[in-house]
Amino acid sequence: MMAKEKRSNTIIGKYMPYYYAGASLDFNLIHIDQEYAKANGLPGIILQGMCTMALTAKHLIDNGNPAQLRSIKVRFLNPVLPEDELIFDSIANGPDVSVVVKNKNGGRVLKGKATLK
Amino acid sequence: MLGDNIIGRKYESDYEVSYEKVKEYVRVLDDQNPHYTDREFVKSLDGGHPYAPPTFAAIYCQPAMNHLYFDPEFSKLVPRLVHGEQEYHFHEPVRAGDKIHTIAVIDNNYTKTNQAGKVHRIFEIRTTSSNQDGQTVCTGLYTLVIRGE
Repeated sequence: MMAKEKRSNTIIGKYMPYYYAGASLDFNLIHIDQEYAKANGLPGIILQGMCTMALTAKHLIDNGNPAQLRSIKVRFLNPVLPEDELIFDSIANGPDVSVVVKNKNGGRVLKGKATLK
Repeated sequence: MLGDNIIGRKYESDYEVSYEKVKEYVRVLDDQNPHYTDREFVKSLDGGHPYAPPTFAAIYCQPAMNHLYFDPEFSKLVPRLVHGEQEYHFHEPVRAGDKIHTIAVIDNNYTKTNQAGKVHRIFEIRTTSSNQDGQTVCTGLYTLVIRGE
């Protein structure tokens, strides 16, 4: 069986952590307060991992029926900052998909596996 | 220090999925999938209500997770908390109008030393979400990392 490869890009908007906080009710201050984030050892406010995961699922479902996504498991490797550009790469072998998200400004931010049926 | 006594601690919540909330969520993601936003399209497809994206699980689980984050003992760790891993299994689709009950259980707690010698504490939280018909719609595993000083 031929492996199917897919790539897409997303630019993280400057205010996305705030918008995602509002939509998700994840108001952890590391996502919305620069000074608090820095005082806790981060480079600044970071995007919610769940938001990067949601964007990964969007890449996988790709306007199709969402019920086809049966499982997803991801590891968050590095923080994503506002205005970063993310590159989503996935390879499907039948229902099994592996996915990697890279940051144009650096290394990998997420790797994971999913099942689509 | 917060220890093994926390294993098995349980947090529950109810969440009603609304079409407006789903639209708000996908707008943030710039996701234009008509399964989420086009009522007429979905009605003509299978007669049902619009779908919630699978990762909307993060939203309907969040009230239960917030009970954990505001747990008087656990809340002290939250400033150094980062999300390490996340796993979801989707058993049934979730749609606008569904009423989702979620149980989050602290399942595991251990330490891990990274290459720099920092000791991180890891908490694994298992979530089980079911709908108004008693069907399990989603099971999740949240791996939360409390970064070492």
